[in-house]
Amino acid sequence: MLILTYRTNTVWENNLFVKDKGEQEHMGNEENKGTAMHEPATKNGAHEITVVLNGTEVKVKKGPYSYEELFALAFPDEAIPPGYDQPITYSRPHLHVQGHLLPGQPPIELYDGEVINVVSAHKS
Amino acid sequence: MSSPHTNLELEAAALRRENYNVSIVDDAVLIARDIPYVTSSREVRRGVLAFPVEATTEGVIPSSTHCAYFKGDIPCTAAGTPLNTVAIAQVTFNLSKDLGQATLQLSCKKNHPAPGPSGYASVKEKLETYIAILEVHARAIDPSITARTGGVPPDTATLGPFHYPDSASARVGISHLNERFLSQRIGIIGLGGTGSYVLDLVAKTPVPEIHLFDADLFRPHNAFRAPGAASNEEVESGESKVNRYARIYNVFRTGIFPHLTAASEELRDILSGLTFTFLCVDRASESYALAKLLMELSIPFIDVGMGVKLVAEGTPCLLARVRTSYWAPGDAAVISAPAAPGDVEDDYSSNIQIAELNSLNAAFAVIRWKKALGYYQDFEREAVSIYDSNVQTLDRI
Repeated sequence: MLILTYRTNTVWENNLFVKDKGEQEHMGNEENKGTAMHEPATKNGAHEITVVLNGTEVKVKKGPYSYEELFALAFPDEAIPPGYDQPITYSRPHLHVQGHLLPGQPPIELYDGEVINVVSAHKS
Repeated sequence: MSSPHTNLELEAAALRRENYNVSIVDDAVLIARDIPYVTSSREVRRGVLAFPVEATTEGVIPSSTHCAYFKGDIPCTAAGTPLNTVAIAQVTFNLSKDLGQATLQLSCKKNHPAPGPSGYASVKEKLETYIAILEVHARAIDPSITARTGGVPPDTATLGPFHYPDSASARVGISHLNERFLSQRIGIIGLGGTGSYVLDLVAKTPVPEIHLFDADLFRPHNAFRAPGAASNEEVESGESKVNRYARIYNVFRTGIFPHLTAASEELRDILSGLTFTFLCVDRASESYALAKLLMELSIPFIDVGMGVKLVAEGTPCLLARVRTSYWAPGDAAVISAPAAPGDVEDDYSSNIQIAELNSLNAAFAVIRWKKALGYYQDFEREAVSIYDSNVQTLDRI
């Protein structure tokens, strides 16, 4: 099997890596549809979604999450050490979207089925 | 049993593995460059030793005489007086086209000569006897000087640092890309799982120098995260990691330099002479200190790291992350602070038999280094790349 790879109109927006502009637009439509089909959901509205956090399914309230909030979800008993800046990665496999979040960047919206990894990679 | 010519090549290669800068010309004369000696003005210089050798189907022996020839000034003691441990005579002896002639003959007979025309049992014994006579005085002035420079003589330069040619690169027409490596002096700090795989990959490029830094011994658990296979005797021998790897890779190439330390304070002088460093240190705090030192010295580097989490829900399995962080002068800092809470949660220390993550981490690091050299095309120039096993993604920053 011959696999060709190509690059077209790569777009980075709000820390999201989108394969191409057309797909981004398509994805945006899908996301809008998804939101419209469900009840409006916010952290305050207590609407829950299921995400996979460090390999384990957890239910969280829908809404934007900051770096610090995602860290706290992964390590509820630990505070972020000063200067800690390991990227938090997220992936929406069904939308072909992946990205990362660094300290100080704007919060990201979480989606049902999203895979979030908060793993420190220091060992060698 | 090999042909006489093959035996000559093997003899020269064996001496080069010990980092002597030697060649055998015209199938008849051994030439050793970079030999330290002292002049009458007490200056340390490097000269050339040579003596005839004879190849048989059984091996190679020194031929003709116990004498050796020397190109350089009259060798002296550290005090500047001519050596009296060796008889010196003025002669002319043709060395090679590029070296011209030796003008001195040195004569040192063994007290207990071995059978044969030279009185020396082997080429190595004769070479090291004459080197020792000259080098000891040079070392009295400069203790760090050595004839074991790892240099490669011009007449074997097509081999680069290797003991035999890379015929595959030549066949596919990419030999010219190897020129990118020729000015590189590489450091690998930390010879654990990832560092040992980095060495395995970098050793196969023609970089002239690879400096290894680690203070630890090679233990049984290391064998499960290292390239190749180690015997029980090896893992129980108490050999240091750096000496072990230098020994192993010296059969393949020259220019491997072991340093039995990984402490940043002791590394400053050595690191300042390097062109690139792979930072493969386990502890985040050490990695952070070394990264700061490398940035201070303006030496580009790649910091590697991996994290493994045990996913306990359902059928237990692992979630693995592999990270490479690249820095070059002018870039923003890429290495995170020493404290790392993931270390507390990390299951890596209790689950060490994951050599594929070490080798993957090393491969990403070496590819990033080669992209920086222009060996691979690079549109991204990423500072950080992160591979997560559960979503099979390679994110870059």
